[in-house]
Formats: sequence, structure tokens, C-alpha cells
Amino acid sequence: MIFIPTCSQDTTTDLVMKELNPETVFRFNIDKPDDFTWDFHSKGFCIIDKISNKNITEKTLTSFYLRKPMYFDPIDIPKYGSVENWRREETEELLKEFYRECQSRGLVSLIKSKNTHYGKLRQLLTATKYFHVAPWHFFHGELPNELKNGKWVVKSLTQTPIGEGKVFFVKEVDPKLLDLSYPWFMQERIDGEEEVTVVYIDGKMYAANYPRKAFDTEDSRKSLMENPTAWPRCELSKKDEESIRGFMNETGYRFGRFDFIRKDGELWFLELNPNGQWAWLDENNERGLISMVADAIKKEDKEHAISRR
Amino acid sequence: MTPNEIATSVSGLSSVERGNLTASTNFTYSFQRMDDANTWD
Repeated sequence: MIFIPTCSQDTTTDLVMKELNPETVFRFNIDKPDDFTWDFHSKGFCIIDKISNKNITEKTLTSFYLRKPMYFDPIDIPKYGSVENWRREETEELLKEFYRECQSRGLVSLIKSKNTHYGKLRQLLTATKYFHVAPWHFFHGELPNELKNGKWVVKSLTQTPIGEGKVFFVKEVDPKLLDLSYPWFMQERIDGEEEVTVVYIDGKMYAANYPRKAFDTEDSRKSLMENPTAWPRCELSKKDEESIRGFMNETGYRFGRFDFIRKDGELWFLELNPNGQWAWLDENNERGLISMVADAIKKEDKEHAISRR
Repeated sequence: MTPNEIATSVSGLSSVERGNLTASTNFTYSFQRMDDANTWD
């Protein structure tokens, strides 16, 4: 049985589950603690879904497909903590321990082949071998000379809440106006024709594009939030595919969604989301994206089941 | 400019609206936060 830890609002998991045999899947929504009972102990574990009465144990677990075990209802945490925050942290830590144990037993779906983390900055460093990469700076205290000219966009290295219900989107900003007592991640603006996103599924690729002029902002996520639109599937050149394979082989990732800008026909690397949202690209599975991912999970699950015998 | 002045407010949506949006297949509010979360490698 495939264990999928996520949250009730993860629509990508809703869609993947339609392509998996319901008998072989156990979805655990971390934000719905009242829907489940669980017990992890020295000889194994048992999780029961109280709504469906389904259960998963150490005997039936074959794969761990990590999705989005996270909370969308933020809580205020007082200086000395809160019992709700304590409950959340304990549960998340349990899942992380469970994940690591499954990792060591080779049961994690589409797991990386190398045990090295590539955050946004290491991705940008590695990407220069395979794609165009716009100059970037992460700085504090003094404005680097390079930022005194040209057009620059500000980005965020983390998704840490910033307060007042705000989120950090990519935005063009004049660096000279920044308060330098904060750390700033800036990249030179790329004036390309289109955004290209590529879902990489263990060697297979699904690419889609959208013209940049259709966005009224630097960050396509903001446009998607305000005006959800399907992106048409597009072709990649052999050179593009080889570059993507090279990047994935070097970093060890076997799954992820790339974001690029295409300028004068060439790909400019923005980032790889190793566990991003991707089902919005083909929400009715008309072009087969959801089946591609589900098939990869099912294929691996069969291999996990055989290896466990 | 401070980070607060540059960030964008999405708090105009009520929690019910956010729930409806994300329960539908529009992937709206969840998109931003879900993209980068949970890469436990």
C-alpha cells in the first residue's frame, strides 16, 4: 500500500489518486488529526482512517510518496509556545522520522539517487553548466556595484511568512531603494518571450509554455492565482532535453518541476521544485501528465513490493 | 524599502474562500506555499 502524507487542500494529490487503485493507497491528511488514529511502536505501526475505516501497517506498507504534510491555517505562537503548535511539531517530526526510516529501507517513491540537498542557490550554481543563468546576488549591508545598473527582480529564498497575510512574489525593484539592513536575493531580469515549465518524471519529460506578455507581473504564480489558466503542452529540443537530463543526473533528482524563461529560443534556468505543484498543467489528464506520474509511482511500488517479499 | 513593503497581500481571501479555491482544481492560494514546501532530502 502506498502511504501519502499530505494535507486536505493538496489538489495535486486529489488528482493523482484518481489514477491510482484506491485499494493500494492510504492518504494521511496532517491537518485533519480527528480523522485518524495512529500508533507507532517498537514492532511497527498502524494508522487508521476513521472516515473510511481503512488502515495501513508495517505489513501492508510498500511505498512512501511524500506530498504536502503542512498546515494552511497559521497560528499565533506565543513567546513560550502553544499546545497546538506542540501538537503540530510532534506530528510533523514523527512523519519525518517515518520518512527517513522508509528512505533507509528503499521505500520512498521517486526519491533522489544522491543524498545531497540542492537549495535554490546551489541549483543556480549547478545550472550554469547546462542552461543560461542570469546573474544573481544575495547580499546584506552594502549594495553590490553590479546592482547599481540594469533591471533586477527580488526573490525569496524561503517561504517563511512575512506577516500581515503577505507572501513574497518575484517582483522588479530598483535595488537602490532597498533597506540594506535586510538580506536580499536579487537576480537580473530576463526579458524572454515565454515561460516554460518542465515536469521531469524519472527520465520522462512533460513541457508546457505560456507567453510572458500574458502576465501583468514578473511572477507567473500571482497571475495563476488571479486567473487560473491551463498552459499548452510544448516540445523541447534535443539540446534542451539533454541539458535537463544532465542537471538531473548531476543533482540526483528523479522528479521535479523546472521553471525556465525562453529568450531568443534558449532556456534560462530559474529553479527546480523537487516536490512542487504540477497537476494544474493538465488537471483533466487530457494530455496524460497525471497518468505519467501515477504510472511511475505504480511501477516503483511494484518493485518495492517485490523487494519486501 | 523593507520586505514588508515589497511582499504582496493575499489576506483579502477569507479562509472559506481559500478552502473553496483550493478544494476546486484551481490551485490558487495553495500554489505559492505548496511549491517549495516538503522537500525532506
